[in-house]
Amino acid sequence: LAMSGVEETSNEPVNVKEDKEFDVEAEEHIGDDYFVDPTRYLFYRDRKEWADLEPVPQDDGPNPVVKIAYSEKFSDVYDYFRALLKNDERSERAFALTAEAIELNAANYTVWHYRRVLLQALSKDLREEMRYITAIIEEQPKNYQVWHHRRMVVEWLNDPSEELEFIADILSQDAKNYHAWQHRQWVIQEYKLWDNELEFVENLLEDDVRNNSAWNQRHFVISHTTGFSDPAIVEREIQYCLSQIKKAPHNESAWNYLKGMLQDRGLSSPPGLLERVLELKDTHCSPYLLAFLFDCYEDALENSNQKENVGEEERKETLRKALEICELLAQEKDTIRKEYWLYLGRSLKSKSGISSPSDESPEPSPEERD
Amino acid sequence: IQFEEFEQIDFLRDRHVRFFQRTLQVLPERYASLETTRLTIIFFALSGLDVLDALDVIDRNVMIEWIYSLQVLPTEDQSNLSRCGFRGSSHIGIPYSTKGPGVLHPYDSGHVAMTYTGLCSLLILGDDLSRVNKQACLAGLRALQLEDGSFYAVPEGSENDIRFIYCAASICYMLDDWSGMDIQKAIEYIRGSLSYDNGFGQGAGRESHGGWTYCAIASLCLMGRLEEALSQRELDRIRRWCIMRQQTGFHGRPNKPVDTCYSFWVGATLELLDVFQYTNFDKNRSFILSTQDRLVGGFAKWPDSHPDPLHAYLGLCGLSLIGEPSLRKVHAALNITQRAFQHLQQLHQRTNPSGANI
Repeated sequence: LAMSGVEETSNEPVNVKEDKEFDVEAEEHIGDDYFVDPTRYLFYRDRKEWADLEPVPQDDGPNPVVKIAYSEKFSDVYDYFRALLKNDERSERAFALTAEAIELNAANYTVWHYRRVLLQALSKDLREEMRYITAIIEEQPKNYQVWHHRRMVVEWLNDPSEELEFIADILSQDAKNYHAWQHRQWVIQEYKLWDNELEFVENLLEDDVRNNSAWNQRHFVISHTTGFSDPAIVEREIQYCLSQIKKAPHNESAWNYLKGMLQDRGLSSPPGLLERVLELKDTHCSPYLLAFLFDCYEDALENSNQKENVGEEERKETLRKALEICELLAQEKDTIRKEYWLYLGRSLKSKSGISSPSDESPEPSPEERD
Repeated sequence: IQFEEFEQIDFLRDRHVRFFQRTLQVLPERYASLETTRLTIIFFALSGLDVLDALDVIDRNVMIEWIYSLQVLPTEDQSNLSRCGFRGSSHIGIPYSTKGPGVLHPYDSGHVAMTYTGLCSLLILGDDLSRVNKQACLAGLRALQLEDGSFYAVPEGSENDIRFIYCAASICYMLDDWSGMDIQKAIEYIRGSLSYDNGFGQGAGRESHGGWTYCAIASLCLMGRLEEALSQRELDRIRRWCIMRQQTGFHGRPNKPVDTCYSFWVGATLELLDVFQYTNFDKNRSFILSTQDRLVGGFAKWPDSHPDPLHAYLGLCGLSLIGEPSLRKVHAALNITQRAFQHLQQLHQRTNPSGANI
């Protein structure tokens, strides 16, 4: 299995030394010209320092299912891992072996757990462990176990000082890595590292205004710092959204952020917002803009139920505009969701309790009947 | 050219049957990272074969025995109850055994996702779960729940999030016993994971995502608490977030590429929310089939990519949701066929004939 080498661990030099010792002895016994290759890999079963341990094979019984065909090297390492585990051995050689086991399968959570037990039992250097886990995550940034391990080490050290820069580096390779963002949120919240995060988010949005993870982070930062209650903050965020939308109209993330921020206070609550959005309708149209308008109209209808000064005519007009948006979305602007927009229109109509001339009447009206 | 186009979107049933058969046999070493989750791979293959109505190609008894060998049973002195459940594989080195008592080992414990897929797999194979130590499984499950309502995967500790709430809810549902978890706390965690954009993240503050949204909604459905936990307004907003995931097939997050597995994660969520009927079946089907591997069978996340068991299974489930003729119907919340689900219902009837069904 060709693996890009893990940064120097304590493993390789030890192997080399052992090989030399072993082969020097062999030379003496064999006595002929025998070229010793110090980098030749020796199975654990052939290493004399491991002779005290009985390897434990995997046992899948008479009819294994989904059996993975391991190479001799892989099986050998893990047979000895299982032996160590069974005895719960707490030693340097066990610690060294976990690194090899990880290199072969970094998703084995039992190996990681055992390594953590050893880190503590042997009082290992946690700074060195940070260097180790940094290298592993750089190679395998989408693995759950490696991020969990890093979190544990950071907690033990109670030192998050490398985290933001490290995560930024991982995000520079994949700006939407869910594990990276999760770890970042944990670090920021746990150690109160809010200060520069909004700036970080804005830089990412400069790189890619459609990065949904960055928009989510924006909401995360603001909701945990200034909050969204201050009208000045809300106005600032509205302006931010609208200016990003003008640059890239077809961006669901920006519209989701705008709506998400306002939906519980009433979409029509910031004065003039509806008008500002309507201004964009012709030049910066998108399914998201139209859906936002629909939601504004729906919001207005719901609120007008409680308001006595909103006349029936005004409500009818709001409903008409909402249904017009549904038609536009269904027939032209978001046809993949045609059935959904038509369903929404029907729902809104029936919820609003407003009847219209186009409704089928089962009976003629009183005037006509007479 | 039209004939070729038709051929291109042909559903190659037999290839998929053979894909899952091969999965159940031997995998090459490059699949090493799947070792601790082999039981989930069995589940994908068995449930996939079930959806294809092709379970006759496997030896049920062989599978059932192997799955039971993965059960972490109580030791003689019952000192390991909080670690019981099912393992993902034999990787710890416990000697093969399908019966108790459990072997004392300092590092042997169940994994919540393996207990969940182990139970599903047994049901799919027609087993009656009589050899499952239910009380031990539930004790193991209780030990995994945190104060905030989420679950660890293993008692030694791991990351904790909404995925394992779904596993826990499925386990309680299948065992017909909710003493395995504090439902109220789980609901609080789920509600806390609802994002400003009306999808669910893996936990509070995190980016909303099709997979975690499925875990949230399916868990609430299994608990029978969907409308208690979420208001009509919230449900409508969640419907909107979900239905906006369709691009051709579905993606998992806004502005991300579509991926076959979301045809199930998001499709099933929409089904549970009664609005899947309003999605575009044709475009969804075309995308899923564009990721079909015409040579080796199975489905990949994207066109012209390598198929894997997870995408092969969820691709089939995605097709089943839209009513692909040769496929069995899937129970959207439990993610097994309706056939397997009916078997479960019969088991529940036997053990609890007057029990109030959720």
